Amino acid sequence: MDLNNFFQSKTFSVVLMIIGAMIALLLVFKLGMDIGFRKANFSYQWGENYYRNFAGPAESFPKNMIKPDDFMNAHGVLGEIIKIDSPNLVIKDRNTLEKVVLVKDDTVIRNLKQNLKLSDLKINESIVVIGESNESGQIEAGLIRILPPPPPEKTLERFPKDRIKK
Amino acid sequence: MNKDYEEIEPPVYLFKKITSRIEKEERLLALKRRIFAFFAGLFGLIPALVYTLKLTQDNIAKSGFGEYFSLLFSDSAVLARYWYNFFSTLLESFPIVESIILLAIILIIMQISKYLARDFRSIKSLQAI
Repeated sequence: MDLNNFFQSKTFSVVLMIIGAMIALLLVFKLGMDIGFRKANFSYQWGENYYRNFAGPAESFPKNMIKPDDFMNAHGVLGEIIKIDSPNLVIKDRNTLEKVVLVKDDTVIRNLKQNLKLSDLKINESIVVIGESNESGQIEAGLIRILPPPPPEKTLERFPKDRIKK
Repeated sequence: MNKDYEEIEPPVYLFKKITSRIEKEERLLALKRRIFAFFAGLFGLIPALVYTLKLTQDNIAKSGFGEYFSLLFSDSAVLARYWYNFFSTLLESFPIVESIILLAIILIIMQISKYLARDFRSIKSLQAI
């Protein structure tokens, strides 16, 4: 097939249209997220300032601590277990934020092909959790999967410290 | 001597030939300029593409999108029960802005390639005349 024919072909036009549609879809999604953030932020600020606006100043946490890009994932978490306080787990995610995961009776905990119990989990294990956030700011876990430990850093493996000439 | 010149009759289609040749050269020049502009754009976009690709890759690694996505293959039976939470997690961890920029760059590169191929073909056909 001639290169020019390929570029003028219907298939190429369809691919271009699909990419364009994906861009439009992502833009709409991003716009929806931003609008949602503004609405949530306004409602939160309104609630936080309600007392101050109507009855005078009140001490509280500093405002606007969270920006749209810092929005937390409400349906899942990925990170290391730093505390086990049955039935809760405290997870430090990749942004070093600590999240509390509530392990329910029907939560599935898996490592490779095995099903585990909450007592089998250990501190410093990396896990990925899928679940739903509750009103207490916790994630009620539906699935917890233990991730394999990360491989050791290649640089250190290839150049052990004792073999590096100073 | 002037009389001799006055007697020379130009060929019938000379004027038309000259104008069509000038027109052809002008079209060729315009096409070459367009091709140059497209190539300049393409060379500018390639580093941008590499940079955005790297940025998207880093953000995918940072957000854990890959790990969440891999659950689809290892725990599909469990995820069927929590499909809404799973897809919400995938969407929440997806680097949207970087993906939009990446796709836009790819789209522009593909469009430029299309125009380049068309212009090269036009040049070939013009030169063949």
